[in-house]
Amino acid sequence: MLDVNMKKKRQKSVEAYRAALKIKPELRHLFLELTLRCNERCLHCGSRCGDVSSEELTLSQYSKFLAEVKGDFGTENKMLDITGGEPLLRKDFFDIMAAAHELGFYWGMTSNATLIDDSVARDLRRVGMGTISVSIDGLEQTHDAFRRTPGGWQKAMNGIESLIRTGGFKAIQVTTVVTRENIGQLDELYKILDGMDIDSWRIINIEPIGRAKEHPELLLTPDDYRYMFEYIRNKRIAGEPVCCGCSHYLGMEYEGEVRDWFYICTAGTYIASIMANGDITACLDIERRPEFVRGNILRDRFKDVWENKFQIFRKDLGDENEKCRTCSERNNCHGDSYHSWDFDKHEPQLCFKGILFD
Amino acid sequence: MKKTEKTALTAAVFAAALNLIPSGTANPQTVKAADSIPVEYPVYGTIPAWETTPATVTKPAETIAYPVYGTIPAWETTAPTPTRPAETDVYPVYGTIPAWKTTVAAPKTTTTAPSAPLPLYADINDDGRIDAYDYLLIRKNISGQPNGFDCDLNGDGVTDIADLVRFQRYLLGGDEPYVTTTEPEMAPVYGPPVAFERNTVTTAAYDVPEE
Repeated sequence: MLDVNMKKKRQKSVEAYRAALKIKPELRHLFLELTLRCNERCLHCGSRCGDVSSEELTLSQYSKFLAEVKGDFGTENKMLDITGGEPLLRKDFFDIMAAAHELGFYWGMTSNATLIDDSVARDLRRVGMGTISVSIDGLEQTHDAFRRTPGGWQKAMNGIESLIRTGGFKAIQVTTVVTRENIGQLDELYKILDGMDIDSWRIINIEPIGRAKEHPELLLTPDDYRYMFEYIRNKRIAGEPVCCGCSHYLGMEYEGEVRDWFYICTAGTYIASIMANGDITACLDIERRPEFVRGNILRDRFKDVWENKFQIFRKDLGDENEKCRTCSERNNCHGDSYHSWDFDKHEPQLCFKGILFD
Repeated sequence: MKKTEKTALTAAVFAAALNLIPSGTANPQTVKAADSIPVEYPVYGTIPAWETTPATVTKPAETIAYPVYGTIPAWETTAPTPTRPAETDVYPVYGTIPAWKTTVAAPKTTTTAPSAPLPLYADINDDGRIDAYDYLLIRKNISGQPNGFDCDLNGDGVTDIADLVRFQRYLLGGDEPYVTTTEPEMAPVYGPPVAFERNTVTTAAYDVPEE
């Protein structure tokens, strides 16, 4: 829809930038998985939260680690992304984030917001939360069933309202994971969200990772994908603050139109993650295989791991697959998102070629 | 949900890029780069580091752009001050006839006084906001469909591409084509990180030769 020549030119810039990042990565986002405990049991959870034991770092361990990161990388242009599980389940959550805030880190979090009331929202503001993304996965009944939490939708909406009432945050975002169950509810959900003073609505497709692999009935069909991205684009044409996620190369038709940037997987080049037990990896959505645990902050200096042991994330996945190697979109896609690569079959689990582009 | 200057500019870029031929069918691929306004589209937050192509603005296409995919955008059906357009104006074949086709409002009085500095006169339609609706009125004026609104933002006596550029630069945050910030503007929780001081990002390493 937008000018194709302009897009091609931008794609080339992205490609050049990507190549530069592979040589000289820049840490910008550091994900901290504070816990694998969760008060919900989402059918699509990539980390299978709640079903696994959660070894967790202590406050002093986080304080020491963050001080080390500040010393090695600084805090400027860095963002801590707090996630879980449900981070607010940690009783020392505010102590940890206060320590991060005092060190000068800017941070945001993902949350199901079921534990947020006005008091918690004020505390979040006090310890410097900048942004938050709250999961709303459909209308009430669908959301509760999907997350296996009776009353969860209402609690989440109340939490969002508390955040809005408290104010002072850079951005309050709602994230909806689109499945076969809720794709027909986007319009109704939009009407509800449009009546709230949130900053944006992120619509993302369910990924074939984690628990979602046990529920193939939830995965989208090609027609569903096309509908979803057209929906997002139409909303953006209307000036609505709607976007899709950062995953997947979408092809020339949709790149630059359903989100404000062109696709680039930054796992290991912009992004690093610390798992709940201190293991160091790139993106928390990447399958938790032993080879992707590159160290542990309790015994390794994060900077050393980032500089010397992240090469596994900085290679071109497309080189491992004949179809990807010979694909016309290879220089834009590079095997697509790291987290959706099938490391046993050496192929992308989700490729939009043939769905969104030829 | 919050509508911001950036979301308005996103909508305006889509509106500028789309083209509707008189038969009523959309043919966006016929929009040539030279005839479109390939301005740098906005992001929620600072534009990513690789989005370093400078904004270029050319004279817009003669026809008014409408999207024909899906629902007619709200800006077409809920414009706060509809006006009667010229007879040759086109309207979408699909969906509701826009409000300006069915209602008539008194046009804004045109004055000969020089335009006041933005933002006052950038509120073309007097709805109290400076947004994509105003942008579209300027575009229509430039493309030969005077609508009675005073769109001469730079006070030179004519409404032309210079006024459109001035308006776009205002939406982008100042006279400079890029937003300059003294403090880093963080990206939303998810999404690629951004160049926090975009005008200091060197692009030499990322420039690609023109074909």
